[in-house]
Amino acid sequence: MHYQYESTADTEYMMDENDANLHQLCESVLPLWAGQVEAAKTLTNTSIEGLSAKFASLSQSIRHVTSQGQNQSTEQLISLLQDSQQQLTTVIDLLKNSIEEKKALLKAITELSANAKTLGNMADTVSRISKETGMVAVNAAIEAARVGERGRGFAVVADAVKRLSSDAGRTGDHISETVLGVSQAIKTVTDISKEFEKKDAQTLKDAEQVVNTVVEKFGSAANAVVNTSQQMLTESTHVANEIDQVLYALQFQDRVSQMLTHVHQDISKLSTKMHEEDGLGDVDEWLDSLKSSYTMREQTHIHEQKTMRHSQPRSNTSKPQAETAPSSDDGEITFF
Amino acid sequence: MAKTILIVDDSSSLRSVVGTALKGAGYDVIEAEDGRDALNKLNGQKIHLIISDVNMPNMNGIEFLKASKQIPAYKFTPVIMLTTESAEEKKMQGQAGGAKAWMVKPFQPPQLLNAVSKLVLP
Repeated sequence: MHYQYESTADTEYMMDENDANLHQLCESVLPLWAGQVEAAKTLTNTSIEGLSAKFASLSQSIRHVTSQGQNQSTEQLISLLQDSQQQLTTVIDLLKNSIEEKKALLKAITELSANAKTLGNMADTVSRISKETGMVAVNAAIEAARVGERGRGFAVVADAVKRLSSDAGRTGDHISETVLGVSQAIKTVTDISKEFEKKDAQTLKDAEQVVNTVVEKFGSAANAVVNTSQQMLTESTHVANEIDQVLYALQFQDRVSQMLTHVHQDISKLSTKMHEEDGLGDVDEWLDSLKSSYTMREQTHIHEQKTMRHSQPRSNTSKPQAETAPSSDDGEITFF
Repeated sequence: MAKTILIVDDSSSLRSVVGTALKGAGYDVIEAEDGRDALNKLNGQKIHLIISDVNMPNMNGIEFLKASKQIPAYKFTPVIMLTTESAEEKKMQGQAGGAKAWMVKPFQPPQLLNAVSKLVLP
């Protein structure tokens, strides 16, 4: 709708009315805008601070677990595996020692068997001597009888020798029987021992096989656990790094908060100035004051873009400019 | 024994981010929400480094920096200013106040840890 004003007075009247309306509107709306901006800032701050605290806590927990828990349990598992292997090897060694002792015992018994054979030979010799002595005694008795009365004393001696020969013969036989009994007993023990030796060798072989199988299985299981643990460690470190990146990204809140603070301060300033008699003052001074309050390069960049647009008419052919420019100062450090 | 670092920032999320990075690297951390709170927490205990924001309520970072340098126990405690401010004029204020470094937010934790390891007192 177009209004046609007949005179300058009408135009001035309309402008005054507009100013009054604008003034009234600003008085009402500026505190509202300031309140909304402040509320948005507070809401963002509270939410982001809560998020940051939770992510920071998560990051700390993950790093704590990765730096201590898993490494410790893996080391404990490896240590346990090594101890178990050593103890099982000790058991096998004890078994081997026991078998070696049995072999030594078998060797001693075998030697005893050889000695028994010698004893048997000696008993045979005693029997042979006894028989020969008996024959000598018989011949002596015959000779004593042939010489008559003068051979009586010799006959007594021959008789005594014959008795001794008989005793020696019986003793020899007894020794032979005893040695035969001992030899048979030794042979039985040796046969049993040899059987045991075979069984022991098999038992040792089986035991070594069982131990090796158990150690191998345990080792495989432990390796699987260690590998899983390593994987978890890698994954946890990856997650912790991702959380660090989230925490980095959440730092935008500090920047947003400062921008909103400046906007809020400026709206509040405008609201206050509306009530002052001096009025709003010079626009350029206001803008310079606003510009000097900025802390970030993006704020200055936006300010310059916007003020340039107002002071220079935009060409229809010009490309739209970005509202914000990425800050090249992020993370920049200057040492003094 | 772990070294102690005082973090001064009015944003609790920033204190969390900085604290997490430092604790992860084995440092002990004390937090303060502005310059005045930080001065109260400098109660004679050994502080090996201070990381302070600039724009804070009650007492800003530059005022806190100057005040801390007046306390004999903290005269030589290195201070890193960690802020969104990147204007040379502000940096010069920090340098004049006795800061050892000026770091612009947002930062990557490794960058901060690198600076901390260079400046932290033995």
